[in-house]
Amino acid sequence: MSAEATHDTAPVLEVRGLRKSFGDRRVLDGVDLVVPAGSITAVLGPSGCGKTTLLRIVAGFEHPDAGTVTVRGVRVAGEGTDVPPERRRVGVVPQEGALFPHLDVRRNVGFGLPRGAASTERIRACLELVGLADRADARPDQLSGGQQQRVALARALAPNPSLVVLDEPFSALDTALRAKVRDEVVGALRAAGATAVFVTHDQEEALSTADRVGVLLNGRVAQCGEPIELYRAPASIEVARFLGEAVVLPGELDRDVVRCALGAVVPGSVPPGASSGSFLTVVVRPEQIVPSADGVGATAGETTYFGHDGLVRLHLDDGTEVDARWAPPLLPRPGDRVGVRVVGEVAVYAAPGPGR
Amino acid sequence: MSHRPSARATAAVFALLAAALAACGGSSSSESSSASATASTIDDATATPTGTITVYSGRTEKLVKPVIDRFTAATGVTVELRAGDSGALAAQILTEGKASPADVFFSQDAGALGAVAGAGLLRTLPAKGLLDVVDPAYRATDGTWVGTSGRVRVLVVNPTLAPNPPKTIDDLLAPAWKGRLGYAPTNASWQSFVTALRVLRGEEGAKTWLTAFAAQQPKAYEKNGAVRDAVDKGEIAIGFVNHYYLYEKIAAEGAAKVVAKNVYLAPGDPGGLVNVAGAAVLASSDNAVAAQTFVRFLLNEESQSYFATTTFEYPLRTGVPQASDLPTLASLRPPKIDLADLESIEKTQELLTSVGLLTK
Amino acid sequence: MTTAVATGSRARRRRVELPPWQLLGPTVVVALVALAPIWYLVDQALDRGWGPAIEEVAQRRTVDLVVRSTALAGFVTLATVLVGAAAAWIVARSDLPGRRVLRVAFAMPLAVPSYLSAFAWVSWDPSIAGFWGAALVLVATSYPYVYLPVVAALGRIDPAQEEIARSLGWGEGRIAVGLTLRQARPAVLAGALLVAQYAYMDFGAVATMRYEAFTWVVYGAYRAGFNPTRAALLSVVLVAVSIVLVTAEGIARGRVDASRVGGGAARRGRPVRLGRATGPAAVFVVVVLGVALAFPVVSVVSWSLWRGGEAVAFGEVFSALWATVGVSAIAALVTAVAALPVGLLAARYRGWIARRLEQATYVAHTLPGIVLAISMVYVGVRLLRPVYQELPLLALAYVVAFLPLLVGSVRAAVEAVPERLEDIARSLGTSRSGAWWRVTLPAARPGIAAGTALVFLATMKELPITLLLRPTGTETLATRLWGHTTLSDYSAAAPFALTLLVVAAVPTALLSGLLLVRGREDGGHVG
Repeated sequence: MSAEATHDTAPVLEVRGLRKSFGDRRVLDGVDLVVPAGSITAVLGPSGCGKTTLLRIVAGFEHPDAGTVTVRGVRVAGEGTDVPPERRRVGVVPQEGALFPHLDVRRNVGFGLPRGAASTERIRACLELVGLADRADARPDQLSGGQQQRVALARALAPNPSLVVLDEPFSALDTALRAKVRDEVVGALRAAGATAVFVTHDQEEALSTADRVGVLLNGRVAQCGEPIELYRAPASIEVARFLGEAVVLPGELDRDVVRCALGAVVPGSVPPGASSGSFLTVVVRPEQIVPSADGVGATAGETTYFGHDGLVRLHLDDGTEVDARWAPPLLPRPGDRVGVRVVGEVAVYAAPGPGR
Repeated sequence: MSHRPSARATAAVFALLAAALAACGGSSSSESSSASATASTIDDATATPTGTITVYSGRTEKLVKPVIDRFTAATGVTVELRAGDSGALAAQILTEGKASPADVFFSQDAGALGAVAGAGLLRTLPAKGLLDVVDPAYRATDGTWVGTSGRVRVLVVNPTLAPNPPKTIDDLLAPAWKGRLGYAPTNASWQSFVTALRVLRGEEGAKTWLTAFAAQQPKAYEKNGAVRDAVDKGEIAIGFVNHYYLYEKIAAEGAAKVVAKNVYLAPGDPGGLVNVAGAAVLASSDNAVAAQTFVRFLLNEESQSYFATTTFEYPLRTGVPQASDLPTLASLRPPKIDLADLESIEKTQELLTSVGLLTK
Repeated sequence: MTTAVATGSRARRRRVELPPWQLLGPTVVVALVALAPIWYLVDQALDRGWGPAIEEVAQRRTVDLVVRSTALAGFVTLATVLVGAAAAWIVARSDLPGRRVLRVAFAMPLAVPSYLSAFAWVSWDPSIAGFWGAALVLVATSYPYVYLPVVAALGRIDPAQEEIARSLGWGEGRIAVGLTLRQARPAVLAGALLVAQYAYMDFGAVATMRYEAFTWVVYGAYRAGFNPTRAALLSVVLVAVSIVLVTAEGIARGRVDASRVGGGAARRGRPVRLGRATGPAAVFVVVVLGVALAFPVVSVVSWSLWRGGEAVAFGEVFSALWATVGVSAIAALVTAVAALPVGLLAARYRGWIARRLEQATYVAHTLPGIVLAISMVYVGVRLLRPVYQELPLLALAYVVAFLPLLVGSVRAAVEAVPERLEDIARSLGTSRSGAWWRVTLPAARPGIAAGTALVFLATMKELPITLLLRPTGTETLATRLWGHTTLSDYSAAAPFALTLLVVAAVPTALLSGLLLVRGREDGGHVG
């Protein structure tokens, strides 16, 4: 839909060293983020970690204490500059649609556009993009939550913004609808060729939807990259713990493997400066622990059943407890003896971890 | 945007406030304080009245309108009537001061006139043909206002219940009348009577009488009309009202149906107070000729007869007779009092409150 | 959940910065106008110097009167809170039959002037006069000031909380008082402030009931003492009382976050079943509406039955009606324009200046009508002579008198519009003040319209200001009514009284109808 975004190779959004405190609470502590053109980036973090603050600073509703924000190469915030929101051309889709209650859908979508025939066409096009061209005359309170979100997106896209930011856009929807609306919204964004940043605390959402994910922990972006990279090679133990379940074990480097309670495991990469004998921390994903006749011995404990798989608590012979994720046919009964081993590469970190 | 400008802005706002007050303040309201010489009289007998005058009237529009219409027909002068409560209008004139748009103040009672005169806002009226048609007792001593009609305080009695009605206010305190008396505590005429009592008997004397009156457990009514009706029905034996209430009822229902009778108090008794409605011309009036002509008009025979026959009041122009069944003012010999002294009604209200005759 | 997160960030977002000049400027002007009576009072009170002034005020009697008025105001405020909140709860949350009708009916006593109601009661039974009579009439005519905002607030409350409380074992009664009404506390406080001020300044009821209150002596000082200085001094005492009331309300309100967070129409909770409480509730309804509405109306109707042969002066009634509607409409519109910047400022900014400016518009509200009237006479004659006793000054006087009614409504209505909407509008290219104009105020329209209807209503009934400042020759229904009742000509007064009641019922119905739109009975959108 909007042609410019896709051909531009420079990053649409660059955030450098952003700091923000509220009172004596340091919310953002040196955030760096780069969002390439045409991509959908997710900023993932636990509740209260400052993701919304980050969004508000990018959109222009808060002012950073330090650091800069640059949109399309133009500095909009930081170091003396402060471009007001109305001139930044950053579209906002908040948590709950927040459609203007006194306007119908058409006027909502057209709010940021000048009057005229060109705008009428643009409104129609944007509504079609989100699949609601037939509800143009409806009032917001006649729409469902999901529909309101989509209208909010159309509204944000209509004035052709440089960037669209979405604040936990799907968390207000019930689970059944969530995936469907998510797909529609993401589809609309891609079809429009828009560059989008959305914040969420839902890992599944971030990992399955975005091109790139930035994990915001302790006021900083701990890691930013493609979802699979983040999952397989988390940059730190905190990131590892945050993304998916993590089994954290102490280990010792032995040439090219690491020995730990689950046996010999293959590290994805070895921390610099480590050599045989160095103490390391190993992070294994539960789905990497598979049953094996000649693996490490363990006694099965409680199983938590999820439908498509189950998480079984294993008591290893040496006393360590780990969780393994197995498909239903393989799930043991409590008390059964099993053998386990680790498949695939594991993440390994320098400092000896605090155990579990 | 930093937070600091708020201190500077606070200062700016205060400066703004101060500037506004200073620019507009300046003049104090002492224009309306104690009297100075009033404007010199105007001879309106020879000048032709024209234009418009504004009349602040404490008397109701229904009553005054016919007089005004006749005045306009006779002189061509337009009258803008502003009806209200005499006391409130007086307060308004006092606040307006010299910038008042009023030309004539037509008040229901003398106290309000006295207050405005005391502030030096009234013009002295010419004696010839205006002041001197009225008995000196019913006009201001300095000629700033003149009475237009009078009313007498009477006892309205039910002859069956009170075959031997009292003739003085002290007789009202007899044990026989306990619980059988009625009055209207908020009524201006009653309060004027009490004010007169304070003048005639002094503060202590008035308080003594009032305390004894309160001990008679008189029944309180909203209005004088309600008192009169209660007497007529026999709810109470005696009521203390103005004389014309009875005649209003007779005019409305016919003499045959009305039981109650007026009893006039003994000569010189404070209860027989005559109070007047009166008119004055404002010193600041820009059409004093027409204004004076209007006051003169109120005192001409036609208007005076109108008051006599419409409201059954006493016309104050010497020579104009009152309604046929009323005793003459001269025969009544009301207590001698300077009506200007009836100004201190507020003190009266305080006194009445303290003896429990005003508020509950 | 989302609510908690949003509340947290919202609390952070309370603006302590300075409002923009486009908002601050008009607000300061409005506040200065609202303070005009104070300027006059101080000027007049110190006419003879500080010494006599202090002597006049520092009397035993002044203290006694303040105590008496405070006793009345305290009782009336408490009673109206109970009656208004109970009525609102019955209408909004219970299953009493006929609730739709009751919603409007409960607001109707606003159409009855206090002098009319007091007169009807004391004519029927003179022994009612005194404290209890005055309290009865004041409660009856002012409980809608609490009822209306509370019923609106109850329409916005999330019913999920009640359901959770029930699951935790709370009984219905405890929920109603401890949870539901508690959430409507800001609305209750706002209404209570207006009622308290009204109880201090009302003259019609206390005069007719002959209860010795502070307004009594203020009126006496003007009309019987011809002593504006004394009246001004006594009024300054009332201003001091007002400052205390306004400050107290500000403190009590400051601790509560007024608006419900989360957009969209509220989901209606299931009505609470009254069961055995239906009887008492019905009795309550009958008593309240009987005392406050049925009795005065029936009394006025009975006056008109004593026709005595005089034809109704339809011409007079019609021209008075025309004048009343015209003047009230102008007053309501001008007040609305004046209240918009103040209410917007008060809702969106929390700094020291914003609070003082909002409170400044409330301070003069405790002054009796005659004080406002005389102040505006003073100001008009000196500063605005060309429009003295003309419509512009009259409208200005009404603004000064009724501004707080609208400022409160505007503030509440704007507070219910999430600031988020303004942020979004800005992200779409509108400036901040543009966002207020295009988004916030239109979204707040129902609440603002309700407040405007309230001012329209108050102006229709108003007497002292109208009497002193109306253009000479203009009569309103209220002034005509007053004129006839001073003559005890009730049959002549009746047509004006009836017309006033009937016409006043229209904005009252609109008021409660407008608030109906907010909490839709058919349940908002599906999740």
